[in-house]
Amino acid sequence: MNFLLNEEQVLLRDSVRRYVEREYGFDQRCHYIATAAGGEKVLADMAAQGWLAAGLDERFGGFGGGLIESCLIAEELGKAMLLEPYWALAMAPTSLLANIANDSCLAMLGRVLSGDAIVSVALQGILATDIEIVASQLSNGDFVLSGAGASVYGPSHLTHILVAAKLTIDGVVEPALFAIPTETAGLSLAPVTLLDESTSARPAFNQTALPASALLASGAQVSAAKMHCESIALLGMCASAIGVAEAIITKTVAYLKIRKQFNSPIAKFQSLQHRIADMKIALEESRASVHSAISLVASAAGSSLVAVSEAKYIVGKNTSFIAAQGIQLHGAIGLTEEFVIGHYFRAITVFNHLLGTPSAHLRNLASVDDYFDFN
Amino acid sequence: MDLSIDESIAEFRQEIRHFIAENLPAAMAERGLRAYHEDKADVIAWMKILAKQGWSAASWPQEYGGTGWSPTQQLVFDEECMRAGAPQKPIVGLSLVAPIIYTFGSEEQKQTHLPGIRNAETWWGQCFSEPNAGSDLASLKTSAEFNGSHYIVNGHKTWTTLGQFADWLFLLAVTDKTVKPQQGISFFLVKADSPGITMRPIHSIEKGHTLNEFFFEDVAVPLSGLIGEVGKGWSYAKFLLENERAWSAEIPRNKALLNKLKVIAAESIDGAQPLLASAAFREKICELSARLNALEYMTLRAMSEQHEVAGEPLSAWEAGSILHIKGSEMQQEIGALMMEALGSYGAVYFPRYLATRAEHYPAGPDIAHGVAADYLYRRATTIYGGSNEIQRNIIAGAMLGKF
Repeated sequence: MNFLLNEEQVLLRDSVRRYVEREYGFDQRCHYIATAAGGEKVLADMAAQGWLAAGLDERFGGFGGGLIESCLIAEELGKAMLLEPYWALAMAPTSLLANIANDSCLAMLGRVLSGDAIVSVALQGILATDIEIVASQLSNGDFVLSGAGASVYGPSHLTHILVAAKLTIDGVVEPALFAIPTETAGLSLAPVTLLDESTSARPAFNQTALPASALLASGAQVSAAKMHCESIALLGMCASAIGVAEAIITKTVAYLKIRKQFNSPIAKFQSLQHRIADMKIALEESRASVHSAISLVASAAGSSLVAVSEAKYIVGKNTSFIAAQGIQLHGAIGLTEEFVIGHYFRAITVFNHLLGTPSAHLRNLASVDDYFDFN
Repeated sequence: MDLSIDESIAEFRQEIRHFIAENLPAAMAERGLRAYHEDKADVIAWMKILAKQGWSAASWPQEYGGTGWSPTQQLVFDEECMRAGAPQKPIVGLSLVAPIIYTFGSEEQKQTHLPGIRNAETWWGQCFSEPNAGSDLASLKTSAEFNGSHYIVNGHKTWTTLGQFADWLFLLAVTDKTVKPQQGISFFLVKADSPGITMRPIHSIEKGHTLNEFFFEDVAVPLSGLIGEVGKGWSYAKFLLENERAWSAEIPRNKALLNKLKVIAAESIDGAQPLLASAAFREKICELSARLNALEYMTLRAMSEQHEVAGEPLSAWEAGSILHIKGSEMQQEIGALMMEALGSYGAVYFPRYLATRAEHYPAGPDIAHGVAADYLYRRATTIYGGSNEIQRNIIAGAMLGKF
């Protein structure tokens, strides 16, 4: 294993970093929230830069990168708390479509990469495995969907959602993947604003009719690709939270050096020095747990789900600590709406509640008997 | 950056595991698995077995008898030795002083000392700390004055691990009081039986004897005992600590401790259900296991950053300090859970290592034997090599820079 970034990876990271510094500062983000604007531009920029394809093999329109590259992007965009989550709008759908890679999926993937379609996958995390949406086929070849369960993230500008359903044809039930235009009649997709001002929605189907062309794929490959996509989404979220945590530490270090009390920069106080050191340790440990999961997910080893739960647990616990200390070390200014630190805290809080809380992931780990073997 | 798993590592691990199974005497393994302090004869016998295989100084450059293994292979080798309960390597010689000798020593010093360390013929003790120079090592007072032919050493050193076995000592002493401490300290190799040296054992809370203090009274050290240049001792000592930084998380030991925790938690103790049946206890093990896994990846990252030539690190981090803090705290946390899992037997002292249970041994599960002593001993982990408070100062210092 080599943990040093090569030249291309440095260029990629720096270009994303420059982009958010230029286009997505805290004031700009507040402006986007106030005006409910900006999302289309950011998504178009991401498509134009080729970032949507960063995790894809060259034969699918990528540039030879993988999960490491897409996580690098997610981390940099995380620092700016993008309202359009990269893990949900880029990593999850492109991974799912490229993994199945039949003609319908590749056609949809092409539209996503060009920016023509903005797509989010209905995700449920790796803890719930049962698909709760059911589909049946009518005699004319159309489909009818009912039920609800998983959630989509970043839905404000979506053109389609990708939904896994249990499809029954001639009495045989198998998993199937549908691409559903957001304007479909009978689809309810009411957005919910989360604590960090990003949005999610839980698609609900009530005898919703879809044309035959909405079916992208069916069979066991859908379950496998969906599960893989859930892992990718979770790791993308983790990388994004790590970006937030890094931003908190950078801000806090700067503040400790300029804030004076008792005639001294508060950075002189050892209790605060040790706190910032603990924040740094928590950050680097988080990074390492994502590295562990990346190496297993990328090699498609059987134990990758355990590694993903470990990462979600550790990154969750650690970034919560970092975010809380970020406020604490800033004092009361950290509680104000006009200062960024509190916004970071909210972003981390949201991260901890999506796709399985730390407790839920820990409980999941504790249920894996192999975990307790001598090895 | 490339995190793909090297499949050849699994094969390498099997090869090492097989070798150990074939060559490690059962009685030695038993003592090692109980984590009792090492027996000198066991260590030497095991080192000789490894030396025959060419593996006794695995991490050294090949020209001095090293293996040429990658850092990951070295880690796997250490993990397998620890997992099997092999005697501890004499690391003070092998990993602390030997790199100083082959990096800064003269040809003569290399030829005099390296073969003996590699073949376990000489045992080394470290004399850095003093009663008034612990975390603040630069304030050390032991002096070495040149009298025209020899350095005359006077002072008091302490916390010398397994100094009672030592044939040789290496020490830091002040050779120039007129300059800043960091420029007036030199690095010496001293024969442990030199006239004027006396040793006193220090008994620690596990009721064992690994620590010692050394008194130096007009000890004459020939010029051949000076390493490198006069006044460079501080930078050599820093090199010594830096050289070891990727290993400071003690992954092999933490893995072995976690394995042992699982074994204890699977036992029924005090007539109760095994703790592995408790969801709360399982979650504690999972948390440690997840954190140990992350710690292993931090270690791999530190090794990679130390050895790869091209590329940019992901972030600036004080790897040695971070790994030291996490690895030492983890040993204590796992130890505390082992003690908890032992129930009432955690309070019982098993006086010393016995291969077969003696008449007077306390009743109770066999697995309890040795756990408490190791738990007590491991309070040292957050102190040795620079206390965790010093490590946090270092991390914060690097983050905050000048202000």
